[in-house]
Amino acid sequence: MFKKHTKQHIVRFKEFDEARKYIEDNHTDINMSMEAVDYIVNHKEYYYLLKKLYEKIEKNDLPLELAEYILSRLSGKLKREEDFELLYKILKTQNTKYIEPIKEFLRSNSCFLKNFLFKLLENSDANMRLIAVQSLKQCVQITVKNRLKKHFYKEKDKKVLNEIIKYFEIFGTDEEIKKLKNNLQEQIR
Amino acid sequence: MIEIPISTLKKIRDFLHIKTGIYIDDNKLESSYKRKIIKLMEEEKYTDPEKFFHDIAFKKNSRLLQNFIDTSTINETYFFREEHQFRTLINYVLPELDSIRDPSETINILSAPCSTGEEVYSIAIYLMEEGELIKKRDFTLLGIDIDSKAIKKAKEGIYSERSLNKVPEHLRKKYFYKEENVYKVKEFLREAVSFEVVNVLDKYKMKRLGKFDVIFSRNMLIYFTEKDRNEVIYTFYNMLKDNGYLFLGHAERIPSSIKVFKQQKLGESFVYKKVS
Repeated sequence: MFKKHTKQHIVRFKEFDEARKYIEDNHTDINMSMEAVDYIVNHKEYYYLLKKLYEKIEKNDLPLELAEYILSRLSGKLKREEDFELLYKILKTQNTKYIEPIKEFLRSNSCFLKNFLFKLLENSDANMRLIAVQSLKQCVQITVKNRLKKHFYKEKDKKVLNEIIKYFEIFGTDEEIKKLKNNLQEQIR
Repeated sequence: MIEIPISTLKKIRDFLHIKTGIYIDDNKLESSYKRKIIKLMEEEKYTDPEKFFHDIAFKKNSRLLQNFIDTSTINETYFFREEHQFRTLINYVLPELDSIRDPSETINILSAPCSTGEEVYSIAIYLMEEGELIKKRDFTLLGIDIDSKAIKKAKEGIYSERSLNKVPEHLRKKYFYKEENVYKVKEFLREAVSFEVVNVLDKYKMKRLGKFDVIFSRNMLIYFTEKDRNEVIYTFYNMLKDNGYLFLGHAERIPSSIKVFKQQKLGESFVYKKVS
């Protein structure tokens, strides 16, 4: 039969240390770990959460769904230079298990993280530059278009160049696309 | 007559996909979708498809962008809309949940957003028509929406002929009264469901709703920024019990890079199962 819906009591941590336990030990009860993430985000301790994310990713000690959850809750929250430094460190970890959630985070926050991504575009590592272009594609702004066009002419990596061309195949004029493709052909020769 | 080159149509499609997650299939792109875009261009006084595309993508004209998104989606709500999803619910999802949940456990279904309630009542009707599941265990059906007027209307349960267009006559007689030119949901059906005003972006209020076995969220996420869309997806994830299911609008997709949900095809529908 049908029952009427009733509101539920929700878990409330009384203090930071109580929540912290479920972040430090995230294997006991993932639901409690998620509640702890929410508590910490509500208390604006973003750097702490990001730091834990980094440490645990390095040790491969974090369930993937919890990594995704933490990243989703940090959406639109990172603003300080130290946050970005840590975000970069997370990107640089060799742990490929977490790379998709991290890339998804960058993509979904691309406009918010525009300056971080512009900086990544200048990175010496072509993989980083590729991630930057793929993420910036989601931020549909003239400043992004202009920046990618400018970058194209100094980029040497073919994968990155092709990714920029893919961007212009959506957002560029026929003339722009032709010019970029011609330029790529010249580079290949 | 405006003519849109296929190359421009594809750009418009790609932009729509980036902006909302909606993907227009090839078979619709050059037919029904193209007609919709041409109509919008005429209304907005555009003759140049490239200029039109440039403006919706780059010009900070929220009205134009909103009109474009509205044109690209089905915004009408009515009973038994995308009925194949209700069949999937009844024939696949609920039997599976019934087999794995404790017999004493209530199965909770959430509709978010529920708008004026047609989706919630449709699910209730499907369950009542199936008949066996509701004899075996308890169900809770909850509809939420940010729009308090919509929730008021949902609770009243009064609908136009147009809203019941897909409801066969025998079900209209069984579940509705007809009063002049409107249909009123019968009391026993109104009593079977609940409605509340809740903003899905309010994580605290969402959590207080509890845990659900199934969430329907059709044609809402497309209106969010990607950031908010992902936040809501993870809120849904958090609210679903283990092995719970999420139904989105038929043209909507969760990005494949999000691993907490696994896409499955059950019957004629794509559904998303919580990865536990």
